Amino acid sequence: MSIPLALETLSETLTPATVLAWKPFLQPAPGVDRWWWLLIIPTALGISLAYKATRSVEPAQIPRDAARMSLQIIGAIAAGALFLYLLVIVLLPMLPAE
Amino acid sequence: MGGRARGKSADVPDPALPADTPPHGGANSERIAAFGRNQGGRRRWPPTGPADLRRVRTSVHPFERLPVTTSSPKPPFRFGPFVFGWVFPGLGHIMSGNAKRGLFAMSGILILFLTGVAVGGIDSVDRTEDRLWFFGQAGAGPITLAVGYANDTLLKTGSAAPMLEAPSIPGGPRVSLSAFKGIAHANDFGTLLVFLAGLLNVCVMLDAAVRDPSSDGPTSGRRAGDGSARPAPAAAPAAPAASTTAPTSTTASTSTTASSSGGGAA
Repeated sequence: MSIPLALETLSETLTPATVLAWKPFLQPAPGVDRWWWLLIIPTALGISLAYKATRSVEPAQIPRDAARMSLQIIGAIAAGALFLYLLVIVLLPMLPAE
Repeated sequence: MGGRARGKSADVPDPALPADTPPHGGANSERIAAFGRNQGGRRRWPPTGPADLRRVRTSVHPFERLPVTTSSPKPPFRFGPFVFGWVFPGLGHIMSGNAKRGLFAMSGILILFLTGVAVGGIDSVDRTEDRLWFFGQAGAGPITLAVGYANDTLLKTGSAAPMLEAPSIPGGPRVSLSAFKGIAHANDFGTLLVFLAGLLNVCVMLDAAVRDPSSDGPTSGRRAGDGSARPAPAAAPAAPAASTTAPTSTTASTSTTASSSGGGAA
């Protein structure tokens, strides 16, 4: 699924009707199957905050360290996704069939 | 423990040792001095004959001649902050005086936990159907138990949403599920995020248990790099002061250190 298609399906899924009918924390969020990849952002942020809260020397450094670690996680996963996209969508089809 | 190296500086001669004694650890110096005394009162250094070399090999371990590295003492494990950290994420740090650090830890764990419950619903915590996941999720504390209780009382009883009859094997028992039950990605990510919150809270609890109370103040010294906020060892600034003491007192401290360091440089 390309990124424009993913954003399109996201907008189709999260319509006002589905969002307003959603009962948060009681039922699952609507359309998670379409936008589950966005969960990397709160996941990376939460892991970074909790980890850096125990590892940073000064408490004042924790937000900056956590932000940097979050960007590193998201960047590394995005780079991996880009590499796999190029490998599967671009490079492998260029191989000869036989 | 290198008493000679710590108790006094190398430029202060030790009257109990020969002048050409190499400046290494106090335990070594004592043994070398004892080696000299064992040779009929004559202190010979460096050893010359094969017998002398054998005596040195057996009496002085080669590793003891290396520079002694100081290791920080093992921090005590305090159960109070550990338990408070389980009661609510970050509370262990807050109760032990490290409030800012505890609030950041609380924020991180609650982001994971609330995102998981929001995505997967309260069905993300299910101690009967996802028992192994539940063990890790329980690390987040009573909030996990509360969500699991809500799942049992609201969803599984049908009080929050109608129960739907699930497809079952012909002739098998009829299975009914809540209309709010999470399936597929929603349940997967909800369960996973709450599980991550539980595991990370265990790490935060362990950190609260071994971290010094009120160690986040502006004046406390810390070890560089690990953030464990240990106060700087008091022996480090005391070493130069000890080097200015009289040679007689340093001899006494050397012998004391050497006698107490029989077990090695701990």
